[in-house]
Amino acid sequence: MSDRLDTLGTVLVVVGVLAVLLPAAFPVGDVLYHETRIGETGNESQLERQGYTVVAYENLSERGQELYVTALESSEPYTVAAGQGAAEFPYRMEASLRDVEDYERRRVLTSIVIERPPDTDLPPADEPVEMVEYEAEERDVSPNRSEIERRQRQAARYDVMQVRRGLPPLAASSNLLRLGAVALGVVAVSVGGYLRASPRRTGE
Amino acid sequence: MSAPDVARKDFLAASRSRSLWLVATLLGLLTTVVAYGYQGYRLGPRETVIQLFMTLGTVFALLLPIVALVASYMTIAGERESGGVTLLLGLPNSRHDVFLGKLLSRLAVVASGVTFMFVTATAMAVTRHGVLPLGTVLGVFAVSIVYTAVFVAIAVALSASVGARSRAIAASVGAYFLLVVLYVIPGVSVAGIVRFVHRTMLGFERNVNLYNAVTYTSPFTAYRKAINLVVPDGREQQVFRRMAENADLPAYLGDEVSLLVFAVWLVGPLAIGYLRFEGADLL
Repeated sequence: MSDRLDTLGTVLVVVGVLAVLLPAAFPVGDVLYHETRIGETGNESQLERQGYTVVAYENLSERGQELYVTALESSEPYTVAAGQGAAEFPYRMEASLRDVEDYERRRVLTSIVIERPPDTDLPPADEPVEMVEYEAEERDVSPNRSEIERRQRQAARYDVMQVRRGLPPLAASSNLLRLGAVALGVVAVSVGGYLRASPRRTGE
Repeated sequence: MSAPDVARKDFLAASRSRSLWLVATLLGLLTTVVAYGYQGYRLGPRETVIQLFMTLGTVFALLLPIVALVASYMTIAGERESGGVTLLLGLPNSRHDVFLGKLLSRLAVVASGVTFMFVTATAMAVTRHGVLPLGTVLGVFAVSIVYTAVFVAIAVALSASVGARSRAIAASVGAYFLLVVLYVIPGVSVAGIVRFVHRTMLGFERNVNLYNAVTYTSPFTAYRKAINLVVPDGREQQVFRRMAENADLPAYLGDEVSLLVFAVWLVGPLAIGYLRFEGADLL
């Protein structure tokens, strides 16, 4: 009995040490984030004046179009592994923008504006078109309804997508898998260590 | 038997304690989760891991004294209360052997726990961020081992100085309050008490360096200052809340002084504890 516990303890310690250390040999890689819920209400020239890069949807690469559409359909920021992004998207890491204090400037540097084709069958843009009316009221002008609708269509046509490079979300399966391995490894080392040190081993 | 024999026997007994393994497991899981969830703001992977270990240092500053005191407070007092110390001294061992053996054993037990915590935190940090700033990790580890050793020394000394478990518990809790808690809570901090006596009662001019120097006598403050010695330049933390205006930090408040503070806290309590144990009536 004590020999079996001793063997079990040794196995648990070895498995536990491997479970703690092995994930470090396979670190979680960075992922590329695509987030379309960011919104602006300007037209092309206004957005370009703010510093955004405006690219027509037709001019995006096939991969770029695919990522944009999937990001539109996703309720969460859409992520792909590093290396599977689109070349025309300006993926930046947070650390590379540490000197940029201005929030708007940071947003411009990590975003691209997609000019959607008119009468497209793409998923609807999630730009804040309702803001157009509020902005008009704030500026104390009272454009007519057709003018507001024209501006709303224009706002919806220029869709801001934020793109960045970073660690996967904490709840990503790649992360959770490694956390689970290390946590189980900690428990296995402790249980195994206790079994090996247990008095039953030597009969003392 | 000699001191190493006493240490070996005591270490074996401690390693059979289920509660010690349970505590080690919980601490290992704690550091794993902290390392998993930590994300530096606008920091690259390497800086994030360095910042993680600095943050762990802040957590350890409060946690490691508890671990060291709990693991060590009974080491000699328990033997004295149960009468086991007379058996131990009859094997034959000198009081010096018992004192040194118990100290070495508890140092090994607690150092094993701290090592386990660092291994799990490091493994998780490398898994998450893919980098290992070895110098900083080893530096924080070494400083943490010394800091823990200080509290093991204090606990063993207190345990050797008292003859009963209840008094050992009270002394250990008191030590934690005096050496850690009183340096954390702003309203009742040691610096605040000194400032009150210095200015309000004695009527002297405000002397921030004096208050900081008094704060620096704690191993808690010394640990936080010592971490500055092992982190890359420019990432040092400001330990003292108040600084004298338009003045550089005087030499006696420098980070290197932390090593002297550690040395005093390592040697002083052990010397007093040993002398009290040597002169105690154990029968």
